[in-house]
Amino acid sequence: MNEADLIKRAQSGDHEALVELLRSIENSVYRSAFYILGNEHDAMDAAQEALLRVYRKIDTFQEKAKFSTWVQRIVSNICMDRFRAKKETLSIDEYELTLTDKQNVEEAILLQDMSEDIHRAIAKLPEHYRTVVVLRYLQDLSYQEIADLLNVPLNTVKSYLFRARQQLQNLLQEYQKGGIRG
Amino acid sequence: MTQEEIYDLMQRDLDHDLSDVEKQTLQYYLANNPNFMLQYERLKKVSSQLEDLPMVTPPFSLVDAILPQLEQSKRTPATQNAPPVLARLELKQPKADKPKERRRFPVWAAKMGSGVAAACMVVSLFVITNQNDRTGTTTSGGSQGGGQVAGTVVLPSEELLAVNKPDKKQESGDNKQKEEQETKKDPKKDTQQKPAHEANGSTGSDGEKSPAKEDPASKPDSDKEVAIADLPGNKGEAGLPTDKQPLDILDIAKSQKPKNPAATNSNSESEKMLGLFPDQQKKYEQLDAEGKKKALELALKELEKFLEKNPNLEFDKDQKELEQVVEDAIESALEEQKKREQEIKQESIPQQNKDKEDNKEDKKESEKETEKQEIHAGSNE
Repeated sequence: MNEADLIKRAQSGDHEALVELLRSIENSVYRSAFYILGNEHDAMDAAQEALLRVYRKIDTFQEKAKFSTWVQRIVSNICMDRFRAKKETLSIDEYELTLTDKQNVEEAILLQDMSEDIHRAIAKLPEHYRTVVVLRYLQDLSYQEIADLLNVPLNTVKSYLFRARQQLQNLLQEYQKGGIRG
Repeated sequence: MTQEEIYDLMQRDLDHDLSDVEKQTLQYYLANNPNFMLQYERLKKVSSQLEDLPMVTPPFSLVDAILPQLEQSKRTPATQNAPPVLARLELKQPKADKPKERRRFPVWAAKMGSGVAAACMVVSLFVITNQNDRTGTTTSGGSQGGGQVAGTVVLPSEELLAVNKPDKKQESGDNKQKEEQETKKDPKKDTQQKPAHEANGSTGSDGEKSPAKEDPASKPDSDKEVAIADLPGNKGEAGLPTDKQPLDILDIAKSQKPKNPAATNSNSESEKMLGLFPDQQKKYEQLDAEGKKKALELALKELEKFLEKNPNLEFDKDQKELEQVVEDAIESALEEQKKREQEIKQESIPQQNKDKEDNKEDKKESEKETEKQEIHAGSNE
């Protein structure tokens, strides 16, 4: 059964179809959350919240947009909300918690043979740059899709992406030289 | 082509966004400039690293984790839909409608009520101001605790006996009607006033209406009226008029407005006025009858002028100026009195001389007569 049929059935109240649809998107949802938020714990929470929102809002989805783009919009919005909430309620305890999560993330990266440097460099990018990079490279969205998803002009998306790559390049160079760590 | 434009071409090439012509242009610059080439290689490496980012997966199935919640929401759809269903219940709609009905009625009623209240206020103010105009110099209970209702003052019966004894003949029909109405309203007042009326043989008013206002020329008993300031508790500090005094002064001035002020009995008014200004009383007592009369006339004229200029007497300054007016009038009367006395003295001196001469002549004549009588008596003997 293809994605469009699953969506139609889910919208008509087919619970099984809706669960199947959620299973088809869960990895991509988690991946975006993981790279945007930078740690597994937050990524799990954000991904679950995004899936629940998809489950509740499936009726509002219209076929004009791509389903994956619609889902990624939900994920990126949740991640942005968490960024804002984290900024407002940042404390020492949370810092410690983030550090432990960071260790978990590092373990996960090592387990999956992921480059530590690029991951650290991505985590150092500004939130908007990071989101654009994730959507471009991990979700393979076009400039226009990213612009629609984030409600920003096309040139802004390009600008964010170019600057993000430039910053990543500089950071990676410094890592190779043995400069900045962590 | 600028350096920024070349960098832009590099970035777009990474995203496969260049046309063939743009690709050739970029290749041309990259081939001719090793720095551009180095930069391009670095960017390409970053891009490839991003493309090769591992496809991380959650440690456990997120859908399985949220499935209990999904199942719960599936099993109990009524709970999900509960808020809208409850909102549609008929029992709740009247509750929701009730405030609207209540709101409509109170708004209408509030408008009417506020209008009625405003009308009542206006009417009551009108009545009170009318009463104040008519009461004139009302008497006060002072420290003895006479009740005060709507601008009028009710005295205890003893004070009423001593204070107000208006003539029955001077009573108008309107006053009688009003008195009857008041006595109906306040039986206590009636019982207090009855002895006074019986003692004086009159049905006079209860002191609300000044006899001076009715007929300033005929106030035979008004001498016995007590000025407000003479009663304890009504004097202001340092002898200045109290808040009540300006009103009394106004009433005195109004009561003296008739064209022939000389015809009025000045004693009562002077007492009232000087009661308001105790400091001026000593000076006033130095005057003789004619001087008092003139002082009062002068003071009342000046008062009228002053009150036309300062009708409200709101400030202490005005009240001091008012007292100054009375003081000036009394002093001018004193001066006139002194002049009169001097004139009388001057006139009396020549008369005394004449009297003395006359007395001498009389004495001489009487002596002569006695001598004649003695002579007659001698001759008879």
